Amino acid sequence: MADSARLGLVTYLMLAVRNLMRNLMRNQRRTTITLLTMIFGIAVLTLLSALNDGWLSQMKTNFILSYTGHAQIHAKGFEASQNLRDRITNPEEVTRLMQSYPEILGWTQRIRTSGLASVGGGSAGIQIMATDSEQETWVTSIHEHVTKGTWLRPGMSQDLLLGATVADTIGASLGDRVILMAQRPAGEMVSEVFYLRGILETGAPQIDRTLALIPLNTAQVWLKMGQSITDIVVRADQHENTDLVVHLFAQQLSDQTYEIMPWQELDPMVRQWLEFSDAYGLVIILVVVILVLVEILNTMLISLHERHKELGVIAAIGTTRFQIFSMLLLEAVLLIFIGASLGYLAGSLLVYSLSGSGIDLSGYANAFQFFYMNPVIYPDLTTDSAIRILGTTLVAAVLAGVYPAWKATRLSLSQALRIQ
Amino acid sequence: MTSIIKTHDLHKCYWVGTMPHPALHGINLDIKQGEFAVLAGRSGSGKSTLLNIIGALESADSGSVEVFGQNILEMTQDQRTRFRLHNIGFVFQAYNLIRVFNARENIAYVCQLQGKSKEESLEIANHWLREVEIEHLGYRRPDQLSGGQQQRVAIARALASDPKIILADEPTANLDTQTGRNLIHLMQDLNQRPGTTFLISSHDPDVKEAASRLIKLADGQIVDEWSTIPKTPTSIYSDCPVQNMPFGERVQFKIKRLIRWRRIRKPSKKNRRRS
Ligand SMILES: Nc1ncnc2c1ncn2[C@@H]1O[C@H](COP(=O)(O)OP(=O)(O)OP(=O)(O)O)[C@@H](O)[C@H]1O
Ligand SMILES: [Mg+2]
Repeated sequence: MADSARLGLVTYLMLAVRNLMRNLMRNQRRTTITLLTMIFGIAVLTLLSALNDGWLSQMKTNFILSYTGHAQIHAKGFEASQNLRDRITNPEEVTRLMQSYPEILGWTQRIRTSGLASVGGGSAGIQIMATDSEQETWVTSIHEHVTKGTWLRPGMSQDLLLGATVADTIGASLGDRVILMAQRPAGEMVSEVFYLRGILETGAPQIDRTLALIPLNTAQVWLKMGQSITDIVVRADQHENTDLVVHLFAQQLSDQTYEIMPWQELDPMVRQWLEFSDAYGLVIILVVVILVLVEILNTMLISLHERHKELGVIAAIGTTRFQIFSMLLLEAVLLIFIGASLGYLAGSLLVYSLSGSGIDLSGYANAFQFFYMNPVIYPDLTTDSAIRILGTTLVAAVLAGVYPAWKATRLSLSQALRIQ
Repeated sequence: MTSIIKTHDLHKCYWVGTMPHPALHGINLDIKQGEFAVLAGRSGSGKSTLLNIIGALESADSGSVEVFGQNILEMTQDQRTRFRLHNIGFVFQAYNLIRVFNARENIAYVCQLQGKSKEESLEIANHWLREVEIEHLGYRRPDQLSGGQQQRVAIARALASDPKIILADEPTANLDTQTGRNLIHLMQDLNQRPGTTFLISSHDPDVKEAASRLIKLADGQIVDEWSTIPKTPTSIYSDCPVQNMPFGERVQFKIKRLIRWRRIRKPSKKNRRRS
């Protein structure tokens, strides 16, 4: 007997669609407002989400390309100790692997150590980074951030570039003799004379405040390091391949000797910042979705109240509670589906119209002078965010539909049938 | 003739908040197959309540209702729904058609609920539209039909599920006299030809006249003559025991009593010290 009480899907759909149409027609103002709220909400959500994503991916790109690369290989323990004792003595072992992976776009070797820079009376603590003038350009765009003077010139062993803030602090200007002081792996302090050839302004305060860039060969001789280096910096062909590259190296290199770190691990601040932004994006989604959900819930409950009698009749003539539940759920889901699709369409059009010029925030540039941000934000509609938005809305639709639908199965039949 | 509806000592109370309202008081009824029985009685005498209980739409407080030998008071909600679908056709005073369906779809809907294919259902719907003489109006929606036409659709819908009983609650109350008479003839005809049993509640003298049997209801009891005083006077307290109060109301009731009790038993400390 149970199987005889089946209702074809077509009948369900027909009932749901017609009820929906009827509610749209009959309660023009209310349902229209609900639909508009939803379209507006989802459109704004789409735009905000695209802005957030665009902003995040710019930030990520800036971060990776201005200094860090996608991944770095160090001697084991170097990231924690920052001590030259933990250095890669045989970089050849790593660099010979580079050719075999098409996912690797470029790589460079660096020595990183802390030191002191002084000129005339001023001095400041610095982070010395020694790199190959040409190789570095394969990996990062730091050479594009030279705002005064030049990039490291090939063959010029005493060239020095300073972060803009460091140069300011110690009062050095182009052409000045700058004395750098650092510690050799063995522990002995040594100093060397360099000539300031360029000023770097990356927009990232911790770089501009500390960076001193010198040629790799010079550093190797000066610090008596032979062929040793501290970092091998790798650039992948796209952000998404970072983990793959890390994985490839991890397979080939002994984890007793090396540590291989993706960019996220190299700057915990940036990672936290990105995670925060992700969470912030999620909060936006949640807020909008909750608003939409309440709106739908409200509409469905009012319409339920108005249809108490009709639902009573449907139940009286033999529609089971499950069937009534499904009908109303379907109706809510359809309503949200229409609203969400139109909203997403409107949002995409907004994003599209803004994606050419971007949103120029340079008027507030000061606030954007830190953390690898560009003053112009280009919204970026990713499939990820589309899935997130539409997925969340769908879940919301079901949530907003379940309660009224459940409520409909609890309506009192005897009361429904006494309504005139 | 076999009896198809049998009630025994049926009691029913409604609760408005914590106040009971007795609606049925010991109903013993026996309806035989093929009867055209009419329930008469003043407004509020319990006609709708009795029909709803027999139609498995409502539950009773005590007693039993057997329809085709099945005690419907012991069924679960879903069992009742299925029971209604296969055994009982309803006709209501206010027609109560599904507004988004046209006449034909309204009738076909119950057949589809019974698991028949769409084509077969529409076929049956056409047949019944012919039977109630409005086959040319099948494409119209309820709001495009007159009251009498809507009630014909409602009767067709009630019959389309091939039920053994039709329960009709004041089917002519919203119709003018002539339309009402036509409808009564239609129902009598359907009662005689396919032999469907009818149980109708009504104030309408025409309906009462058409009855093969008149059941008189007063204050929730069946009486022989309108003049006779009900055998047992109804009493709220014996008819509506507190145990039958619905759960929500009972909680409310208990909380209220608790508050009252605390007020009496526990005067505040200040008062106690003073006294
Ligand atoms: N849901 C309810 N809650 C409380 N009391 C109710 C409820 N439904 C009916 N009643 C009461 O039960 C009694 C019987 O009602 P019922 O509807 O069965 O009367 P009726 O004979 O059908 O009247 P009418 O001829 O006006 O339709 C009435 O006193 C009514 O007030
Ligand atoms: Mg009534």
